[in-house]
Amino acid sequence: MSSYRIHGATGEWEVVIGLEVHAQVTSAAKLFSGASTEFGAEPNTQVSLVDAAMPGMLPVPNAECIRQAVRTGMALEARINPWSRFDRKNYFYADLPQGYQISQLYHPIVGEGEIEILADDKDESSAKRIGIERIHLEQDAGKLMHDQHPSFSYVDLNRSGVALMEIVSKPDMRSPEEAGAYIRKLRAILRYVGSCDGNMEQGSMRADVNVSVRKPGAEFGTRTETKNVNSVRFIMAAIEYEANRQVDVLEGGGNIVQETRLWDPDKAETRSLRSKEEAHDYRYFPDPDLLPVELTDDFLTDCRASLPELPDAKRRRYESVLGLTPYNASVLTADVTTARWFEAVLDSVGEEHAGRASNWVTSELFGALNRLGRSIEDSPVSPAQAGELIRLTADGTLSGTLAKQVFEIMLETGQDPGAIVEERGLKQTSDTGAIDKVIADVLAANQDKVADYRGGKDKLFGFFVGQTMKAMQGKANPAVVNELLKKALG
Amino acid sequence: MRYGRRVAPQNGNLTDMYEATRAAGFGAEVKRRIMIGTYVLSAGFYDAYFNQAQKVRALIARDFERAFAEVDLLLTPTAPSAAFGLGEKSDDPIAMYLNDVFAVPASLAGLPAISVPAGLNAEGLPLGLQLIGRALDEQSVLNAALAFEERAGFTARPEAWW
Repeated sequence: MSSYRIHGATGEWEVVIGLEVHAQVTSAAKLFSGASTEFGAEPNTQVSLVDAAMPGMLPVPNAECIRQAVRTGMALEARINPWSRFDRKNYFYADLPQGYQISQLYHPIVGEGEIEILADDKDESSAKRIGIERIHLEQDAGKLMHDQHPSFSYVDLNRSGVALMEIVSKPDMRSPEEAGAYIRKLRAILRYVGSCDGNMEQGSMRADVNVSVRKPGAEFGTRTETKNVNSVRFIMAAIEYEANRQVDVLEGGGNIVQETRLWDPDKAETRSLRSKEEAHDYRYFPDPDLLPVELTDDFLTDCRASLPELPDAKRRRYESVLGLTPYNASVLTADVTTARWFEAVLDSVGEEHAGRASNWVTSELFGALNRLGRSIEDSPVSPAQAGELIRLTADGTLSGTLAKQVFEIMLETGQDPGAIVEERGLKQTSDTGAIDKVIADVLAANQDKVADYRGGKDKLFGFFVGQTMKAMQGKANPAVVNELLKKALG
Repeated sequence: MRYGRRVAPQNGNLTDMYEATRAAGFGAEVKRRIMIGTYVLSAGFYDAYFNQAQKVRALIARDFERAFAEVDLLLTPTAPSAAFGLGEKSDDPIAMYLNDVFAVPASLAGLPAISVPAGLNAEGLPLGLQLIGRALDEQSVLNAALAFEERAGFTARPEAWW
């Protein structure tokens, strides 16, 4: 249970949050036409006669979009409705050539499901299940461009008719952190499934945020809906702002009106867009141009068989089978790209080195990528090269320090680690004769400290190790150095 | 706003233009039907009207099915009266509404129907007869219409009134 509370003048308030997430379905063509969905094309170059709503044009459902919605529902452990239907949602706006959006009000393709979240990803006790109310398929609208002409607005219909999944949660979240965790988890699952790229900057995923407040344990309060919020940070900020605003209104003796609001990222506040009285009546009715969608058992079986291992299952396997720490398992499975990269490293180095590989990826690789401002997709080092480096550490060829040096060179030159080790002679030495000789020199040069050490100053041992390693340019095997030093110092 | 006439009131904004255009182009009966359609689909009345109407439509279709168990085609007038003059019945919405009462049932039941010229009334205005057939049986409807046309000997042509 979340203990998040707004501290008002009249006591504590609980926040109740539900999210409606619009996720663009990954498909080559639109929901009811063959036009391309590719992002970034010239305006109005990806518009079929159906998308432009020319008279007499008839929609034909894209089976791939149906398949992706069903797979998504299955990944969210949701009920799949073998019979669903499309409805028309009527409204008049310049970005909607049909005068209606084809959507699913009465019989959505996916029913109730749930997602498990960790509000704090380092705290297993913050786990919570958030209910999914439904998922339905619908068309996106076109885009209005107001900055192309001093007195006219332009319409780009490239997005018109692109398939969206609207994923509606139950009002189960109680803090901005839970809402943030829900969005991140949902995004992770969609990316694993491959049904949405989750790219919030490009608008592939955006959320309508429903917020109300109540005294803990009381009935639900009146909610407001903040439309089209397009980043996790903004969603959390909008909830916090909206909850505090509602508490102020209620404690000031006012009432919350059910209304649609707008998030202004520049001012970090929400503003009223239209009240319930001004709300549209969409006059939904079944679309007579489309037959009901009936899913066969074979289709459903194929959808289920095509699902990959999902983040929760993968995280549990990394912990129980690969023996990774909970933290590493969580970080490596949070995004599908990272998980695939890590598994490619394991293919190269072998699962018996999974622990070492997980530490290296989460500390060395992530540190370097962070420093270089790169994502894992364009890492300068390939998983195969990383695997080779880890193997060289595991078999004792490289010490930790040497491995760091080799990795730096790999980042700069893109060379394979084995080649770097050969070329630059960075191999670690376990040659006891050579190490003994250096130790003798070090002890001879520091006789005063040797006397102190033997007199009981144990801490000086580290000094001798440091001097020895330095004299050997970091290439000595630290375990061998330790052992030989202990012997030499008596 | 892509087709037909567009009306832009002086100093009006975009919404004013939409509203003026929507109001200007349609006659009273069309506007009435748009209003009724909007009303029965509105959130508070969907169940009371649209859902009920769908059930009634199913009953109408079933009634036709029963009739077609016994007959192959149904013959009806196309309209309750011959054509009337423009604006003549504008003050009588019921008469306007009833004008397509014979044509609507076939559409509601999803059946093929055709109107064939059959003769003239006392004033010399043409009258049509409607043939309604079984669902997806357009062929029988067309065959009957051809037979009818060949035997009715309908030769009247309107005089040029323009």
